[in-house]
Amino acid sequence: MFFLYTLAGSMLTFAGVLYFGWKSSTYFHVFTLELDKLYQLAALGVLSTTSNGGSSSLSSPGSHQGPALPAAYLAALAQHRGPDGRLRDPRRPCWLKSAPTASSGSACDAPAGDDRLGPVRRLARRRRHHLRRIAAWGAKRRQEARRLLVRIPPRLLPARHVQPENGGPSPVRCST
Amino acid sequence: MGRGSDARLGAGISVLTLAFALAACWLFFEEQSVGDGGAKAQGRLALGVGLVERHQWLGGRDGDSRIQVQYLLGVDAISLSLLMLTTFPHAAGHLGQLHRRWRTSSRVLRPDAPPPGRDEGRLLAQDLLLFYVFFEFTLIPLYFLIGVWGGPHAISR
Repeated sequence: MFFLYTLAGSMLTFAGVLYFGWKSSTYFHVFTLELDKLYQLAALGVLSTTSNGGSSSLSSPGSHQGPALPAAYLAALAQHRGPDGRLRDPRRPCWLKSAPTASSGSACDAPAGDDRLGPVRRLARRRRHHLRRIAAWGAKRRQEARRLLVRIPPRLLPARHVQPENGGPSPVRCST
Repeated sequence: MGRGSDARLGAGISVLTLAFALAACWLFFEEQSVGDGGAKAQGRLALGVGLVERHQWLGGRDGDSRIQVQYLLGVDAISLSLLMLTTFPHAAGHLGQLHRRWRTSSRVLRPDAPPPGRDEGRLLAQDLLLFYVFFEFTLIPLYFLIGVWGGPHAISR
């Protein structure tokens, strides 16, 4: 199996080499694998697999070089930004989406008092992973979950090495 | 050929490779400093690919051939540092084989199993297909390392 894995990896690498040669032949009209020419192709964006072609996949938004990005792409980037330029979650409550204003009577008025963050808290609690919710199950079910999730290696821990859990009953001491 | 002869031959080849690498290092900086006199006059050294050796490998020798794969070797600053980092441990390992106490039955360090210069060629290749060939040569000692010494299902120890 080790030989087969090595052979498969070599074949994949050779396929990648042939792909670079094919890309260079489409640009230089010669099948060449010289690294200097491949660097030129990479600088020109020919080796890039993105649809816009001219931009490298490693380029950051601030250092974009090449043809202009499509308007839909830029609109999708700006979609989650509010008028103040901050990143916003579109699923947040409406009174948290916009900056607080003195206007009142609209549908997005924030509820008064401590209930202002109540829906946000409930939303966060609902999205929390189920394994992190065991704290709300109570002590008994939490202990059961810990027995299920925490695997103790067999025959590595003798009984005298098992420490009681925090808050659990005191260990039974043998007088012998 | 006994293990002692193997060790002496391996040490000789590795020390010779190290000497070539040191000579390449000196020649590279000489060539770069001569070739870019303006940069040297400004107190900086513009390092490009130097010591280029170019031969036609695959495809026709004329310019009309559609395949131009070359045996192209060269050294730049990064590959030069990696070359030194490769040749020094090789020479140290082979010289350590000369001592009977440190001698092992390693097939990697024996000169008959792998062709010498595989790692150096991988670092100096300036053609992707040539790099691939040298890279495949480096898998041979890796095969012995993993297959013979690696894991509980090793072939022998």
